Amino acid sequence: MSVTTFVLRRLFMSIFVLLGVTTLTFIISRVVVPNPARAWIGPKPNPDLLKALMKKYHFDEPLYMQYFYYVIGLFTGDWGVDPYSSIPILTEIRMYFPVTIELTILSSLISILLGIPLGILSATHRGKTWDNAVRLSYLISTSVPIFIVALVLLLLLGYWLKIFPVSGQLSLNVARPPTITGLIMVDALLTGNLNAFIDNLYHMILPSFTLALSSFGIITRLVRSSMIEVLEMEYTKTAKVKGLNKNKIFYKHCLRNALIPTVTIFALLTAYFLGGSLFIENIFSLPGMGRYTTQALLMFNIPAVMGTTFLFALIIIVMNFIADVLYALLDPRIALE
Amino acid sequence: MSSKNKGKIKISTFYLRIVRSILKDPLALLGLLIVVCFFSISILVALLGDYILPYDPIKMDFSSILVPPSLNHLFGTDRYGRDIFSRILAAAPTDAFVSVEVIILSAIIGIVLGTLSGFAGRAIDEIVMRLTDIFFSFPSIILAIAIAAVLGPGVRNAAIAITATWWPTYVRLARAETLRIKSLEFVEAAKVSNLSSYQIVLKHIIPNILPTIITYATLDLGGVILTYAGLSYFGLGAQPPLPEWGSEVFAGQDYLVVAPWWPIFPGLVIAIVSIGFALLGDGVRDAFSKQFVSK
Repeated sequence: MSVTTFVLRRLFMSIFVLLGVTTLTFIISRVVVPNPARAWIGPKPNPDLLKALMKKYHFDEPLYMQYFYYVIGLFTGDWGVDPYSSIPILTEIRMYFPVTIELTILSSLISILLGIPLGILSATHRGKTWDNAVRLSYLISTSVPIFIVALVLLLLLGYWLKIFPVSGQLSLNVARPPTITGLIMVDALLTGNLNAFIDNLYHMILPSFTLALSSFGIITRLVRSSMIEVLEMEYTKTAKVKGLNKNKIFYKHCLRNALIPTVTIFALLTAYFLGGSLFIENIFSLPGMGRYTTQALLMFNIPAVMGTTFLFALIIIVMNFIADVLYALLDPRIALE
Repeated sequence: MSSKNKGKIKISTFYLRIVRSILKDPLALLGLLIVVCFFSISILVALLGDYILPYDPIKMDFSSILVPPSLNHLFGTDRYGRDIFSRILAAAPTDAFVSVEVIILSAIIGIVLGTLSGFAGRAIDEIVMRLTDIFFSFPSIILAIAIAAVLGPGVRNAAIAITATWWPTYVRLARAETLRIKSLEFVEAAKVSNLSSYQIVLKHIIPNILPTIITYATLDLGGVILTYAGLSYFGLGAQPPLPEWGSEVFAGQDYLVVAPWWPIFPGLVIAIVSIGFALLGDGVRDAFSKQFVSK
């Protein structure tokens, strides 16, 4: 299979899975939910308005037509309307999403910085104390609920030692830079407001670190196993026999090849971060998707909950696709198989 | 073991090997101890309930609000004066029950769809696999939360919601095991002796994939407990005033500074139980690394 065929095949699969995802979210939000019209339109519209809205949202039509309109809506930017605020879901998501993007990017960086060196350390000291310590640490970090990690760190580093701020995105005395992208750090840089950049970064470190702490094990585990595999490859042994410099073998032959599989992990990692944002944004009072979703949850705001659910799945499908294509480009054997 | 049945292990040997590898590994042993304690306490509390709890977990006592941990109140009290230790104990059976329920349902779905996928030809295999892909596209916690939210809060609905996100792993596991067993010679022999596919699956495949699935499922209980804690944190588990590990943390987190024991102790209990399962699982996985499909 050539790389192009591989990419096309993966693209086809992704589209299929995406349609499957829309079917699932449709079933959950229009079939499983008791009284779907009430869930989508809101708890107390007057009868005339209800009738008009039922017609507008196609609730008076058979299910397969509803599904048709639902999918068309999803792909044309109509994700429904928040029944409480009467604001379109996508507009609300645009307001809340930037914080979660910041959180996800920072968490990725921290978990790479933590995960890769620990994975290498573990692989090069296989079976020894360091290896066992690393394995135990990621075992524990993935088993402790993220909200507990968050609360303990918040209490210790935020309230008791006062090293980090305990909530929000900016200090009270720092003005928010004008919105260009919505990402405060990017906006601050674009407007040359270094003060706001640093302050926002300072506020985001503890939440991002918490997320990274409960997910770096995903990277560590992968780097460890792929490093062990590479270290045992014939070409590594050949290089050693040839008498090449040990460091050179390590960085040029081993590390590069061992890190290639890590591109596949980012979709999984993003899934962790997005799931974790539900808890983290709540505990650190960050106005992102996680907080948006949990507030919607408490109000039985079904369009908002389903909007996030679909968005998260969409992100992961796209990331999976990109990861597979990157992987095939970096290691053409994958496409050949 | 003869070479023609390579890969097929006698069930007794299978469990014997697991026990032996756990006994050799102190961390796995610690995990086993935690898991056994968790289930024993759950069963004891479920059976004897009020007789063994130090305090009534629901009755409010406004004379002892937010009391710090002491010998009287091991984990302190909440803002209604309820003993947190008693509430944690009282909630244990729910967690045990939900986790077992979710795992059994998922394993059944997994075995049915997984053997079907591995045995019924490419078209069905492709459909079932793409179906699991769809479910793997969601962060499982958000899918579970969405389903639980739509169904309405409660223990039963939370269990249904988690099962809905949990089964695909079991389909993959059962399918991989089916494919492995299917290629062994005794299955070929069964085919030659004119057994139908249905009979082969029932008599040869399922009994041989069960040990792996049961082992994986047992260790997977910790994952369900963790997810259920997440759902109950958002109030989607048992409803107040009934105690629930996750919702206890949520209720207590507003008192993090004034009364850290309120959110922290229930959280630590969830962590300890979950770590117990993970340690035990790691020990067992060491012995059988090849037979496990990683999640």
